[in-house]
Amino acid sequence: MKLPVPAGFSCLLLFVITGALPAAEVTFTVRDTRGGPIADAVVSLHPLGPTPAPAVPGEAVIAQEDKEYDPYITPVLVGTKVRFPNRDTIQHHIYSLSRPKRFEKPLYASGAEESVVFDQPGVVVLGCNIHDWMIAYVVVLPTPHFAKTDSAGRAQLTGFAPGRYRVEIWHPRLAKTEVRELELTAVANPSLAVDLTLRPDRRIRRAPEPRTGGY
Amino acid sequence: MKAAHAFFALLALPLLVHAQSPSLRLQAAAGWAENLSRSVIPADQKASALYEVAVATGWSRQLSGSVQAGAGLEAGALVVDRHSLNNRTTFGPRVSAQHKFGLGPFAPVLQAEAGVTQRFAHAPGDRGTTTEGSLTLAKRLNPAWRVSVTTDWSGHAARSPAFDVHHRRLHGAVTWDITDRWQAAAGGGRLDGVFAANASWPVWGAALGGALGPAVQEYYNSIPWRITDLYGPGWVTYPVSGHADFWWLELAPALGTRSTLALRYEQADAVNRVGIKYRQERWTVGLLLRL
Repeated sequence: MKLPVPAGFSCLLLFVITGALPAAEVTFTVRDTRGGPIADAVVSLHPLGPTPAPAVPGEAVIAQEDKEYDPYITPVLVGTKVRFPNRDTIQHHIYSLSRPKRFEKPLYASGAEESVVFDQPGVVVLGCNIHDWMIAYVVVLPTPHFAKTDSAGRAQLTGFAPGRYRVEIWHPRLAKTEVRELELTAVANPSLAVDLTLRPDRRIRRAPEPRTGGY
Repeated sequence: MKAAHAFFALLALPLLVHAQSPSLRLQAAAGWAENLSRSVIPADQKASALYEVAVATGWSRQLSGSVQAGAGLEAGALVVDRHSLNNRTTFGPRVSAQHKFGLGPFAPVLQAEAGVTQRFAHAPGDRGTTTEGSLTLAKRLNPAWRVSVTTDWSGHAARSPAFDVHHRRLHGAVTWDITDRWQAAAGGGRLDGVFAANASWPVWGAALGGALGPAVQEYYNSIPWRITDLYGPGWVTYPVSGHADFWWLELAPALGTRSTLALRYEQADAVNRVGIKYRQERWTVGLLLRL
């Protein structure tokens, strides 16, 4: 079955029916234009019908390890507390200049752990003011129905009520969030393949740089 | 000079007390230098293969939200294939301080560095202590482009006055991260000061005798030249004041997150105070590892 897609994208939707009312389940496969899997894409379902009861936010962990943030992408529900343990033996300096959550954690010593509550929806970019190549994204969502694609490009969402949903797919290399509307029935377990065009990955380079010679 | 070493060691002590895991940087390079001898007469312009290794270890500490200090030790060795009297090893401490004007990779960074290096040269007269200082202002324009301006000073106090040199430089650099892997850089600047040059005895004798003009004769008779045999029997080394304009191009593909291959070409055109000019060129391929 083919769904209408925005210009420049193609979208192949495969619906496989399993399961029963009331909870539904859906699996997305996110691919690039050459058919390769896209890992770390955040897929979220936003109900267009009656608003369900609010979910209780939990906790998440983004570690600083080997001078990198781990994980690179963390989707969370609004109100989630994210802990930032420094598992390196050196200092870090976490900061965010993103509008949904601006903060700074300087003098962040080895073994320290601080936390931040992300109380506004949006994408928050984390950096380290000492190690410029360190970057991570916290995708703060107003819905509890989200998942991050794995190395095969697959994201499985479960436990949502049947109905009409706006599907949002976000990835740091997308020019803008991919948005679709879907009717997800209770009995359906649709498997969707979505082809997206990614921009080049332009992160700050980590490799060592030569020094200027003398005379 | 021992006092200078003690000074920098003491300066580094507060940082070492709070030492975290040190960083380690290894560098190995092979190159070819044209006119290594810094000679004006083509017949005197000696070329050679060069081999260098260097290891640096350092500790850094964030003193405030915007200030970071560092201290470390560096050691290196240079082997000059055809002219082994130029071989040398070096060792010494370095300290640095960095101020970042804001948050993020695009904030300007001002960095000051200072170091004292003991030089153990094969040529006895070149042995001594080198003191260096630098100030660099760098700004990343976007994830791919970065610019920097550096002013630095270096002085080498050698056993022989022929090797007593000092200079200051002002240079700029542009770095372009073409892709995640490929980086290109270019830079250039000017050096002013006193640097060592060399001449074979027949050329030097002619210069002292006035064959290159009275200005050269007068100046060369006033400087503390020495027979050092650096490039052959009877070769003379002499310190001259002047300036050099230099530039370089570099291609540095990343081999991984911790290693880089660096291919570099550099050129310098030197003019001493009595108008004697010569050019030097160097090609280098190097491997950098950061652990």
